[in-house]
Amino acid sequence: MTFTTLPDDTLLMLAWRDGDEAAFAALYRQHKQRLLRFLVHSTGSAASGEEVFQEVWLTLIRQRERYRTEAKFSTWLLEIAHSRLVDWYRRNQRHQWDHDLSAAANIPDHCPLPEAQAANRQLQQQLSDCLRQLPPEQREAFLFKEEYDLGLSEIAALTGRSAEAVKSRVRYAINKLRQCLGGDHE
Amino acid sequence: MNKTEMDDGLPHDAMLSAIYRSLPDPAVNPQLDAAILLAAKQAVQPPVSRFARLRAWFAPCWQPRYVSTFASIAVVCLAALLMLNRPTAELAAPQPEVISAGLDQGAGLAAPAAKPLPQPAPPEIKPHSPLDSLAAAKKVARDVQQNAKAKHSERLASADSTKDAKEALAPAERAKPQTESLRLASVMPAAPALAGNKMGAETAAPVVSAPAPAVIQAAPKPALARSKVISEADLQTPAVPTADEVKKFTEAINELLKNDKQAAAQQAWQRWHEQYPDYILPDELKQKIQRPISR
Repeated sequence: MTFTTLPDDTLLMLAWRDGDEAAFAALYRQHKQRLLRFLVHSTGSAASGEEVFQEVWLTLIRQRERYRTEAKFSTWLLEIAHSRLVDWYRRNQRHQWDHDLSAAANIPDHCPLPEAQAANRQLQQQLSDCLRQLPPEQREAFLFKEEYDLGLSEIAALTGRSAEAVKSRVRYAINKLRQCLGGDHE
Repeated sequence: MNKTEMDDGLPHDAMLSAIYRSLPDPAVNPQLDAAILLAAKQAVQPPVSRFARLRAWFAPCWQPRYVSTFASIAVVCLAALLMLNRPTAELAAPQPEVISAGLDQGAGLAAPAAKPLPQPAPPEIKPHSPLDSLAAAKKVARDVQQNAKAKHSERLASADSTKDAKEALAPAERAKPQTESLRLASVMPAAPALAGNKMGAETAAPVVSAPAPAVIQAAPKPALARSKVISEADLQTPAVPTADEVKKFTEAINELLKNDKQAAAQQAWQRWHEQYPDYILPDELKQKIQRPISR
């Protein structure tokens, strides 16, 4: 998956701003799944992820007049998501990670799981748990990279940090995740 | 070797990336989808004008089946408004009997026979009002003057000489200023003092104090008469003698002339004439009086 913004996104955004409801529906359909996944893993909770997800889209609706065609729609959307996440972190500094992600991941499958798939499922569960143990800044930087394939400069621009700081955060995040997963990936 | 770096120097772990991308996607709540899509739809909808909202609200009223109903309500409201705005002068005066009967019936009691309303008490008349005092004073002054004239005529008739006639005429002369002082005393409270300055307190006091009760007990005149403005001329005693006075004066003159006291008769006539300048003496008597005195 590459971080490519379709030129249609800007056109859809402009069309919706001019009153085309279908344009917004297309935009929403195109970006909602990835954004929700990013937010759920960032907050560590499906409910909290949905809460921030709703705040992000409502903020986008309110601030539609501030959109500039020079910027990519996905970048503008992630800027809003980052600011909403920061607010959410401030509101939930002592947030206790729940385990609804584990429950969501343990949805029974109709097909019998092969041994390899069972091992992969276990790795996914471990990774989810390890992500929750990361500091928010490192987790966010890692998720920006993995979920949206953002480069160093893009993450630095979104988070307002220097490239070295972002590089350091991603490095620390990867090391901690490796240690959390058992150091099998050294 | 899973660990590597991206082109821009960002650390990368292919195995971790593979595990992360294999994580299941969370399902989006359909209600959340609907809420966000509705918010986006409402945000870009053109604002509906207030007139359009009112028109949409009243749209059912213009349906044919409702028009007659609303018209009837409007007519009733208009009629009620006109009745409420009717001036109270056009309304009939309330009948007290009807009102009392209605109140009694409303209280569950039998309606009593209609009773006449109590008549309002006549207005209390103050005898000391200025107009009343003027009228009473005028009457008292007239009575005093008549009494003085009567006494004067009696004395004049019984007098035998000119000296007696002079003495008899003196009280009548004194009575005149007394009536004037009395008139002033009745009109102005300070009149006795003013009169006393002129003629002495001993003389004025009995004249004023004697008829005072008559002034207070005098019957009030009708309102129309009281409201009439009394001029100074009304306060003057009319210069026309009464028939009794004329009769007595004529008898006294005749008696003097019969007794051959023509000078006394002339003096009596002069005083009479001064007192009653408008009185016209009969020619026969006038000729007798003005006849040259025989020596």
